[in-house]
Amino acid sequence: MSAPVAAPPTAPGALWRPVDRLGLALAWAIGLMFCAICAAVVVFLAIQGLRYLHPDMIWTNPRAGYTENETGGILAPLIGTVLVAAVAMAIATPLGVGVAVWLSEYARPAPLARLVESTVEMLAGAPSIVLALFGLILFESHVLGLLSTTNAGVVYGKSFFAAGAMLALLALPLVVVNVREGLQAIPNHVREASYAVGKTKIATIRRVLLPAARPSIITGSMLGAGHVIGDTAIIVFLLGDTLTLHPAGGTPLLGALRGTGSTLTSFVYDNAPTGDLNQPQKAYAAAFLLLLIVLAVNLIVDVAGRRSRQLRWS
Amino acid sequence: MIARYTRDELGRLWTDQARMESWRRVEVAASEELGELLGDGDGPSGADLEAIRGATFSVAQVDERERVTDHDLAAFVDVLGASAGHAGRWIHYGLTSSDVLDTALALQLRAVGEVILPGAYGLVAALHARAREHVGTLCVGRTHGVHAEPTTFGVKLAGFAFEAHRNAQRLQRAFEPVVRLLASVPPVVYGLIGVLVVVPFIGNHLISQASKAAVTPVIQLNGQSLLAAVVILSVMIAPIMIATFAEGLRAVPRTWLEGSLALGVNPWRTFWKVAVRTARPALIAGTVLATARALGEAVILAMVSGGVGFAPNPADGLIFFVEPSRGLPATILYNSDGMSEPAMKHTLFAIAAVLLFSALMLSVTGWASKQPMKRYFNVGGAAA
Repeated sequence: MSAPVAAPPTAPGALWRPVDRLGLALAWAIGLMFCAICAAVVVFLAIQGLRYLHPDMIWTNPRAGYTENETGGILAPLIGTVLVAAVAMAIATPLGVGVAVWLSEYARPAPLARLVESTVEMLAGAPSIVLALFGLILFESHVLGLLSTTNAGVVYGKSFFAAGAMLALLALPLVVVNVREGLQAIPNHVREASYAVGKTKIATIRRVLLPAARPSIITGSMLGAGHVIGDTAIIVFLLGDTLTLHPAGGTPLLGALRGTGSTLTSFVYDNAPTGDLNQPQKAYAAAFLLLLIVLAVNLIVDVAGRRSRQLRWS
Repeated sequence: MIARYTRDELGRLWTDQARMESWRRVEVAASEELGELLGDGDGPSGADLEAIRGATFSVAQVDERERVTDHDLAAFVDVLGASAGHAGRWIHYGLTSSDVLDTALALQLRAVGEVILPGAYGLVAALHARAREHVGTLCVGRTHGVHAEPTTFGVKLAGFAFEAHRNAQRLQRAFEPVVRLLASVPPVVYGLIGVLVVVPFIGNHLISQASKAAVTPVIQLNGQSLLAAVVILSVMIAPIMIATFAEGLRAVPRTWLEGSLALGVNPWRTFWKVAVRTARPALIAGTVLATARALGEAVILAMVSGGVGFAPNPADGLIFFVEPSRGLPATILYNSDGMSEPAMKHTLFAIAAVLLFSALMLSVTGWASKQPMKRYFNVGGAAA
């Protein structure tokens, strides 16, 4: 064994050609530029939002007026956002969990399972404007007249029910994919252990698998809710996009759900210079609030995901 | 644990005292859960639980009792129960020995993980440092037990360092779960910024008065344009692409990259020639899926690309980019009021059908182009 020799004059490092250096520099530059753009969007919106968002705007309804001082706040769109998200998730979560359980645990007959699977895939790829158009035709039919306002035999087809139902289709793929992944991550010996102590298949699903998959159910439905809150096209088509809430009939909650309204997204859309109202200050304020809500939803998922004891199977 | 073969930190975790302390934690936790499940009337009361939490034992007492019971856990339960007084009857209620022993062992293993995991990473760091140190130290390479081409000691150590790193990561995965999340900005927010910032910028700075005047009879140029739509849509779909790209790049087996690095290829070339090439299906899929997303986007287009049904003509030269245009989804949104007209209704549905079909085809293409990556996932799983 010879003594360790000194490093050769040219240190044996990897060879860097100019082309490689250029490539690495470009990758860094693009990455930093993208971060800068994202940061600029958030910071710009935060500055504009904080400038125009006053606390009393949250408690007042929008009004018609000539200047931005007279047109009130964003209470109705805020309530609209919450309502429509609640309706959509009330439909999408149970339906999505059901579909995911069936796909993961039963999936018989196989051709039907493949059909359902590709339908969900297709739903995920469908543009929301197409869903909106489809929803308008569906809810204008007389059979579903009860779910929206009817005037002299003409069904308007615009209500929280209609918008919520179509938005649920938007959120459905996210719920199905997440829950299904959660269920498939549970190893088979857990199911077999449950059968071994005499539980039926349905009891196993209800008492063992669904509780174990709870984190993915929360993640899926919250991601879906984020999608629902951020959508505009379906709202403009199916919620009526009215200035304030217009309940149909006297029943408190049911009337509101059958009636029309607006959400923060449609409020922003209408108040942008291209919209009907053109009040940029209001639009900035609402957009900032919208961003905060989406951020809060994400935070909830994060915390819920970390809190819920993630079961580890080995 | 044989004392001379273990370190203090680890030996401490495997003493009888530590083992029984771990049992105690499981017994207390089980009693607390019982209290929550059965409620105050049927299960252990608050005062009972307080007494159970305060219960103590000593190894000597348990050994003493074991001579009578001939069962270690039964002896332990007796000692702990006696120390909790009347509340002791709830300790070990409805449990079997395995319920306690297996759970307690898992707790001990977890504590061990906290000790050895930093050590495992320390080993990686040490090997890494030594490999760098001996980067030029000559060393005989061997093949089939015979001297072969000379190599350096650093290369050998680097191989060990990579191996140790994989082992440390595997160890870490055994101990901690991961939660990951994607934030999504509502499209209408992008649209607002586009129409209030990007559109005026294009209108005021990128279009000359002369060119505005030149086309006034045909169309008004105010900045709502193809260019604005392209800029805003690019920013919107970039995160979708990046997520798919990153997923694909992460699925490339580490060992392939290490092989390239070990041959002296620099990190960038390794990334470019090995990782990007392997992950090419994922790159295609990400692009296609993001395109599908941009294709169906109505609101942003309606806000920034202009509401007039005008087709920019590439033959006009560069001005083509700043001319307004109206995509298919935006057309539906703009004409939603005209739906009562049967002709308009049919047109809009035709547009929707085209959109749906295109989105469907793009989804299928994206899915299909991702399939070849599947086998790398398996390779990665086996190698990791």
